[in-house]
Amino acid sequence: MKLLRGLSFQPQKHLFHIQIYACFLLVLFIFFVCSGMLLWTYLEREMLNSGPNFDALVERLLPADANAASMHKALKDLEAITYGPVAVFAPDGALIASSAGVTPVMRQQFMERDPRYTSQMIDGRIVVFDWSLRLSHPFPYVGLLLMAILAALGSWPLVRYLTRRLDSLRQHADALAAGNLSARVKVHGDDEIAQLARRFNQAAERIESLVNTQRIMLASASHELRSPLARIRMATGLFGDERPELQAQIARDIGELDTLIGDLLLASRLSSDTPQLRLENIDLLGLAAEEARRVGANLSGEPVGIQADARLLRHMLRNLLENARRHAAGASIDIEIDRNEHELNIRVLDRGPGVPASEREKIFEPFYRLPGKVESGEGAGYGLALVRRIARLHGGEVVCQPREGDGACFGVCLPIKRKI
Amino acid sequence: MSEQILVIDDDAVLAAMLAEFLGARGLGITVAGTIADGERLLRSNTFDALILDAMLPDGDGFDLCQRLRKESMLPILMLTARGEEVDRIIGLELGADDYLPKPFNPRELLARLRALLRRAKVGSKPSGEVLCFGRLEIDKSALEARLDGAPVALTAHQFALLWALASHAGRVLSRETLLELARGDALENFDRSIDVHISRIRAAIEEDPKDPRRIITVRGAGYVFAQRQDEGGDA
Repeated sequence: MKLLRGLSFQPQKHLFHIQIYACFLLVLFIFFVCSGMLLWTYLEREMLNSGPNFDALVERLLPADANAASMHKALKDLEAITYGPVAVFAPDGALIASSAGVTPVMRQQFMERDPRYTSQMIDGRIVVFDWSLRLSHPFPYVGLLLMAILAALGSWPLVRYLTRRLDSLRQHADALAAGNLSARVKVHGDDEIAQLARRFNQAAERIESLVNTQRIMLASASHELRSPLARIRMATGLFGDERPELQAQIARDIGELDTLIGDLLLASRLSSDTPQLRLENIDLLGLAAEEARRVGANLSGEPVGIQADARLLRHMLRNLLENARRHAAGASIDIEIDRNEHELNIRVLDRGPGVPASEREKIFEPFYRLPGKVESGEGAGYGLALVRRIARLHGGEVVCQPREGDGACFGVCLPIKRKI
Repeated sequence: MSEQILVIDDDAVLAAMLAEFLGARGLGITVAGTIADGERLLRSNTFDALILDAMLPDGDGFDLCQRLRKESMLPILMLTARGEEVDRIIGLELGADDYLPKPFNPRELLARLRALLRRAKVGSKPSGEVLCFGRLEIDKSALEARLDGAPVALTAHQFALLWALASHAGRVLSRETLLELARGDALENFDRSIDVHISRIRAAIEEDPKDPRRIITVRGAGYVFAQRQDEGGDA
């Protein structure tokens, strides 16, 4: 649950469809490179394979008795096939004719006589073409690139369409995690995402009905548990004046049970991930004064206004003070309230036996008992666990510390301005 | 003739004990187990007060309370085992005159019921000028505070102080603020001995002035008028 909450507070990122799109672009790029390389090899091979044909063509186009003009025209025709300038050399290396001058590559080819780029004519003349210019002719590659760009652009809406449903599923899951139990997804089609959506809806349905059942159970549990208590309490009223000390003891025990029921019900109500807080502006000192009076604690402090759930803070203070009263063994209890710029501090101090250092965290666990303590009526209850829960719900914390001299000090620190 | 009380509670055992307890103390008790029965009895008989359980088999006690309040001024004391919604039971929202969370101290129920009956007899109905805190009423228009319906002796200064405190119930008021507020009302100068006045007020309205429950001292800060006063007066 904590993890879920942590995630939901992060800024929303839309990574998935970008990942898919990036994948697609990568595939496209690889395809582009591969087909470019294939094209390259193909064009080269075409040259290689067309060797004899090319030779025949050259013999036909460039007869030995051709004049300069027809020679030039024939070379221009050849250019269309080689995609690059062509030149004719005499066997001794003298230039006979060229389509567009002589390039250094031609000279080199003339020396190397690579059959792929040269053609030895029957009468000894040598035809050379510039392969470097030919192969870098951009047209086929530009076409390929254009197609790739079109595919890249066209696939974006497609990717968005496919991931939109996943996106909506994520939004609804977020809503559910944030406590909106009625979040349901619309199911389209029958693919994996649709199945996931259907499962999500089923899970949400179950959670909602479970929570509702629990809520109803809690409401009636309070009624069911307190009704017999009310009868017992009422019955003691009918005893008249017999055994007043026993009657008082019964009344105290009923009170303790009642407190425990209240604590448990409140705890389960607060156990949901996002319990509803009824925030209002309250004077914590005034609240503390009323609660301090109940147990006869000495209160000192300054008025502090805070935005909080008054009932919960009252419950928290009451539990802290009750806890102190139980362990103070009749000695006085002090409660101090002060504030700094951002937070307020409540300290409840008693002169009881104190809490050993190793137990100071554990006592906030529900029903934790200090080792060595036997059942003595001063029960370990749910009180301190609830104190911690309420403090944390208000963005604060409670700790147990040793008190100078003797006894324990429970310190609650609450932020004055709530962030949520 | 004894005062007639209608109890609407589906817990028959509790209602029977309640009838025995209250009957032994001079009140006439009629018991109904459902809202329907209760409403029928309310139409056919006249009652002086109603004790109403919040959760009944055929409906919600809160709803009945709201409905009744629209047509009559019958004093209503609500019993609730929910213990959660107590904040909104009393007052305009639901119209109950008082409430007790279950389990309750029978003696406390009796005391509150008597307070309700006395208040109804005097005929004072809480308006904007009357503040009610359990058995204590502070009536601004009459410049009078009443405990269990009986006026308590306060000077005009003391009443102004009490009104200032009670109208800011739950907030700690420093002596200066208190003086300011009270002076504005009384149009008179107070002397500085505010603490003396407070102890006089306490003597008048607190059950035990040594252990004040209504006006609480906060050392070094001032006084606060408690929002919740009578609850938990057990043991």
